[in-house]
Amino acid sequence: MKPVPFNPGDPSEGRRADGPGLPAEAGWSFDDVYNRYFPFVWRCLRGLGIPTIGLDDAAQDVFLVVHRQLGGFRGESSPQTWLYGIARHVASNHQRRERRKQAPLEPLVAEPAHPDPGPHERAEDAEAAAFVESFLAGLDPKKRDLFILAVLEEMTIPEVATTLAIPVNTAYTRLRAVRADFERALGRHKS
Amino acid sequence: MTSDGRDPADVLARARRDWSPRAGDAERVRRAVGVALASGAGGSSTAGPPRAPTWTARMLVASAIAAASGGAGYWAGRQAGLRDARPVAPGPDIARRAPAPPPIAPPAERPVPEAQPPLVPPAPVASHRGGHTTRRGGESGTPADSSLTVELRALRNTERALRDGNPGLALAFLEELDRQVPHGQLTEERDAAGTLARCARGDHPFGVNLGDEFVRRYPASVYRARVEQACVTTDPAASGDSPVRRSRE
Repeated sequence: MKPVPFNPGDPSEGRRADGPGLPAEAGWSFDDVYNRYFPFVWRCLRGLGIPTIGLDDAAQDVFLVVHRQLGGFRGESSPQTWLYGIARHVASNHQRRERRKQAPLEPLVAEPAHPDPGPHERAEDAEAAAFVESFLAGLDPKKRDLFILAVLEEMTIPEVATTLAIPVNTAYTRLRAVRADFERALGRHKS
Repeated sequence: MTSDGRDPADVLARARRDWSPRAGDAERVRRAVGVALASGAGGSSTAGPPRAPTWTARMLVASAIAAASGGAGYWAGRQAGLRDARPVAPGPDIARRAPAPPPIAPPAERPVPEAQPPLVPPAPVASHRGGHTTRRGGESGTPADSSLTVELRALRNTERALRDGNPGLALAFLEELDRQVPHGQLTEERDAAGTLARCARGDHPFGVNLGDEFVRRYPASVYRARVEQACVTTDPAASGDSPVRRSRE
């Protein structure tokens, strides 16, 4: 097995993991992918409905698959496309397992959302996150995927269309619809 | 801007910030991935979509081997452990109140989720990226591989015993591990497992909070939250009573 180096990366780097794709021929290492795309994978898993308590497991599963399949990734799609496909599959598996459990695990500790902002900011962030989470939970999977990629991760529509294997025009139409849904839901929230 | 003045972009930005990982998250998951890969789970994870029929076949073989070795090891350990653990095993109350905990050792391969211990990757088989499958540990591995395999197996059994609400058995597994591999690589995991088991058993060393002690030793531990949760009731100053007794009241 090719050893996986453990160089400490900067996990907080870059809100979005956009930029050039992984040039397979350039031999991107697991660490490169991990350092660059960990935040993307983490947020996608949240958006796909993985609760905080399950994020570690799910992220670990994603990167185990990444480690296994990195050699076969040829850069024909964008890295986000590839990673999102893995994350979606992992999230689906985790949710299936959770549904089978009699007594789901409760979160152990409610950790602060982010170390930088103050308490008020953190509370507002957490409230916004809870609202978006509930909004996503009410969407059908097609709209949810599109919302996560296009709205939250700000990927371009052609990229999103490729990721979801839908025509670009369909992606635009769904995006308009889901944005309108979001604004309506936001208007109802706290009203 | 919506009718109540909330800006959708602001809400999205806040949600995004809340969902972004903190510095510790990446390092914690990285460590878990490393342990899983070191044990050989990286090549046989079922978490991702299989890319070719050969992967399916490999995963089935790996699952079968993992189930057989894990189950046999657990059964053998349980028989041995029950003899040692019976005098200190908790009553049914403690077993019922033991929470279903998150994993002690980083979770990885779970080919048969209901039957497999979800913590440490069980497989003594590692599939390489190139597709070759090799055995790890035991007769063919280096001594370090072998001891790591023993540690992983013992931690897996320990976690299972904890999930079964049997901390006495969990401690028996750990004691056996201490005899077999006194200076292993997974010291933090072993310490966490031991602390959890002692807390679940209701140990009250005078003037010592086991959870606090663990946190002092490993302030940035992945298992900190779980240990604190499990050990909060073992603080004699805070409770003045044992969890076992309280659960019966």
